[in-house]
Amino acid sequence: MDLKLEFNAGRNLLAVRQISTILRGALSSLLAPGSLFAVEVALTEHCTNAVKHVSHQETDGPLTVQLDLTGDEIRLKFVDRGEPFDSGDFVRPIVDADNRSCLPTNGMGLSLIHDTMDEVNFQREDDVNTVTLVKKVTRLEQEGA
Amino acid sequence: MNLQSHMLNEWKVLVPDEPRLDAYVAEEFKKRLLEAIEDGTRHLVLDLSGVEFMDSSGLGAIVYCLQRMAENGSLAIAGAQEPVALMLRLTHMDKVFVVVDEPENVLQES
Repeated sequence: MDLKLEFNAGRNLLAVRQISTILRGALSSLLAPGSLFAVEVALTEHCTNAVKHVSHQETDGPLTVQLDLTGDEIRLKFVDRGEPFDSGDFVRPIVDADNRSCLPTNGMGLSLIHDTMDEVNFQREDDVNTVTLVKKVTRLEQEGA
Repeated sequence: MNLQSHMLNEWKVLVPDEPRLDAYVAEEFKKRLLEAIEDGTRHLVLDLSGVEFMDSSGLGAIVYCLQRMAENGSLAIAGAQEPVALMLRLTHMDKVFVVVDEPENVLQES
């Protein structure tokens, strides 16, 4: 089964949770657990960033998420009017177990998105951010084969 | 959200009543964690067996709690379901926390 979903939500953390929960419900019978985890993490982390980094002009603008599962590929497309978002320009947090005062307590989201997705594409035009995440996934029926 | 609490020898066991530790509850979660350790708790076990999903915000709250504990304090995570265990591995935080299957297993770590 292929799947297309579109969410148009308010820009708030409750909406992020709701989208993530619905997505998990929709995909849990289609994707192997590892793929489901990767998609849920990437979607949750990106939407959370979009909520937290809202622009001053667009505090109530919608958050649009499109999901397209076709064959063994899933595409997530996010559209928002937030601050400019360039996912390629980030510093990966350092985790030093021997130096707990320097452990990261935030800023891990972009790393997680890059680590779980195969492609992360960013576009910005006319104050609109469009982020597309792509991943090859394992279907539930494939895992048992 | 709430944290149920009980003692296991010198370890304080905290059990969140929230199946998702995400950005929506992270600030409240952090607040509850800090309240739980303000008595100077040095050995803490987070029983996450009821948690189905944790994002970086939820994880960040736990890391913050560890940082606020005493220098030689210990924070263990027990009962991590697969998505939580994967999150710990992906972020390399499985090297920071003691990770056990059951809260009682921390007694062997002491």
